[in-house]
Amino acid sequence: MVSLPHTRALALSLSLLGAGVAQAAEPTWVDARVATYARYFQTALLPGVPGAVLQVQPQASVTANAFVRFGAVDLPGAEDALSGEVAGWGAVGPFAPFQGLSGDGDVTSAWAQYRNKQVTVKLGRQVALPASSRFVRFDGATVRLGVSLAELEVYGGWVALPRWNQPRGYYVLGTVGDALKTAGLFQAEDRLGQFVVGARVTISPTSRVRASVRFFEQHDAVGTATRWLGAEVFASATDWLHLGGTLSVDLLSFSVPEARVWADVTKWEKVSLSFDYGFQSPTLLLPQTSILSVFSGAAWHELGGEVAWRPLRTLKVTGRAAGQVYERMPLGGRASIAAWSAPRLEGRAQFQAEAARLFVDLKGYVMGRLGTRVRLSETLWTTLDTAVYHYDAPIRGTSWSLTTLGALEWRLFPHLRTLASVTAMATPYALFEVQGLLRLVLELEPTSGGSGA
Amino acid sequence: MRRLGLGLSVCALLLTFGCTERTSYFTHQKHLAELDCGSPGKPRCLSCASCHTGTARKHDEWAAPSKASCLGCHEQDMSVWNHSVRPKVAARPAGKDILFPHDQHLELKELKGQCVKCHQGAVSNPNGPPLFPPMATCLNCHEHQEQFAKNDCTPCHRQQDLRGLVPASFLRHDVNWGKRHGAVARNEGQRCETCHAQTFCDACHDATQRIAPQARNPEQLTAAFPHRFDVLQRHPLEAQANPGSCTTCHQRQECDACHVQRGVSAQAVGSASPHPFGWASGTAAANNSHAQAARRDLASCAACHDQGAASTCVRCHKVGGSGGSPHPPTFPKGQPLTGMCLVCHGGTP
Repeated sequence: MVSLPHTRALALSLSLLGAGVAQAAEPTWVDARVATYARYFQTALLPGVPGAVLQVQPQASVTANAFVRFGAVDLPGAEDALSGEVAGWGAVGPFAPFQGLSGDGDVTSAWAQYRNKQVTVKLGRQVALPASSRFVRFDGATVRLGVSLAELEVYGGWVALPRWNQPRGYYVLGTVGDALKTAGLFQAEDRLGQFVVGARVTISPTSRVRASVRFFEQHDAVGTATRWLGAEVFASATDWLHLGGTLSVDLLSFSVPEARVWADVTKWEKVSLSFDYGFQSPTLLLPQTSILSVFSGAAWHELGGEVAWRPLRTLKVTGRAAGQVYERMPLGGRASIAAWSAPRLEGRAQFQAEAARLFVDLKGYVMGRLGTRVRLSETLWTTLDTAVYHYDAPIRGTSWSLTTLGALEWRLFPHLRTLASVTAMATPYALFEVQGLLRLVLELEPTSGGSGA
Repeated sequence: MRRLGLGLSVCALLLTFGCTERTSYFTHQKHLAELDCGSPGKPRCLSCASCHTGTARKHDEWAAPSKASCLGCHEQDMSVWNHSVRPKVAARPAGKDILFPHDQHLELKELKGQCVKCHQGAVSNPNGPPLFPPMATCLNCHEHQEQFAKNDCTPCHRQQDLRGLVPASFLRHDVNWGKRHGAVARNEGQRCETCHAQTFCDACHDATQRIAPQARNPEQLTAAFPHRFDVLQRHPLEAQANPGSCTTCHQRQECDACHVQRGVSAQAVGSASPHPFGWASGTAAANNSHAQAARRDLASCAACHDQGAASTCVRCHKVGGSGGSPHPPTFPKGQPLTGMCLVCHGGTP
């Protein structure tokens, strides 16, 4: 049992800060985490002009991620009504010069949410998950209304550009604008012209069926980038057969950029199956403000499946395979099989073995991997992970790459843990290279998985 | 550098395989099913309640056997308790604290005081600790559809535990979950929020952060990090194998920003072309094959060539240019000329 004195103290404090009305059905809670990463690395692993390797001196950088989340704060007349989250990151190191600074950082989320009965209002920096596979951060508002079997969600706001108005992509060791011949087109972006709006209606006529229709529109500084209409259906035909489908329509070209249907079979305790068909037209996934979006591109279809077999509680084998058909192009596909085992239960020793094959355009790679994670003592863990890739088409005359990493994790206190890792690589661009990482994580709730990796 | 790397590798191997903690688990099978007991001169036979004497009703109680339970038979042998039952060794997995009144359940006529009806495998598993029942076992008797619909998981679960739990018997995250989690999150975001913070999504999808998730978390063996290991060598293949997947997280400008720095972009001054001779002219072996490649994966072209209205392609593929119309046969005609249309058809935006 992990004691959480700090959590309880903070929870009590926030409760007292709240309206102090009737006792909450759920106690106020707080989750927080600060992770600091110190890295020593060389960017020489990056490829340069064909036939060359970029020579860059070893570098060190320090990055910190922090997040605080709270919930179930009472407001007058509304129990457990208020929740919120603030998160951001900061880094110092030898990054590409940016306005004369050697540091960087941004706020990734900052929102508060009010929820009372059927109405939810969320204000601040948040994320929208529009049609197709996208992830858009914006500063604005989301209103959600749930009535009986239906739910309506409407959102809108300005797209969150890095540092308020910088071009996206600036953080990748420079910006596109650095090299543009027509740089005037890419000066600091006008944030006012970059916004998103969206809506979704979901109905759940029975506990086994859920269907939704959604709309999403995003504007870049120079015009409408995306205008999509989409639909999704999830259905459980039986207790063990789960069906789903998603479809997006680009309203600017009246074309389908992406569609997918799947079926999951969970009839057997030890075996799970999943079948998946997908269609995608990659050109249509580009913003319509990209001139390339008006070119013709080949759509592709993918038919795949996954089987997860758990013959023992301590062993799980997962196999995946998918074949791809590109319009007027050679076939493609990928397959992988992975086995995970924790023979001593409770994860004290874990082993992972994996093999994969990718095949695209008459070339691809084969991958083999072995990994292990062992609990050395009550507070000490170690990890060793190795992967070998063999490329069908040699890169700079080399067909192999090898990556090995070792990590040692030490939980100093229930709320503080640290990790040191070393990654050694032999690739077509570097015969031998080593990178190091030190990580320090301070977390309020050690059992929480809320903050992610 | 090579020696340092070899040394570190050897150390990691030694730590991994040489220092594993020697811990023995309590063998329920041996104590409950195989014990030679009951006859004269033999120890008394045991049941679950022989050792689990508590009547746990609260979150923090789980009726762990006391030291005295072991000493009743293993006289003076403290190591038995230390190595099998000691709470720090036999700690439960995170989130296993639920409000569950054992005493009330054991009194039910359906259970007849039998623990194994829920703790299945506790006896048959020769080496392991007692198995915590999956939630499906609870749902065999309890109907919780209404609470499930409202995301109301307390008071059975503790709120802080929810953020560390992955349901084993519903909301499964294992059957092809990676492919469809986005669709589920779009429609059931509030349910996701019950456990996950927005930061959880950012951890993988936010490409602005300077350290990729697989680099931040090298110890996570089973996480589905798409960029694990030497992604730089294989990322062109991955992009071709699944066009469009890159832009789930990355803006198209990101590709060019890095390529410019590496000198492999059309926008980098003095960069060498990676394309074969005849790539865009049809006068050599490559035979104008850029068209086929572009149809195959235009997004990859955009990684180096897209400058918006000043794109490389438009220089030829504009009205009156030598490249001909780039539009597919299904391209809608007769639409009002707006935005990008004006680049070729009648002006500059």
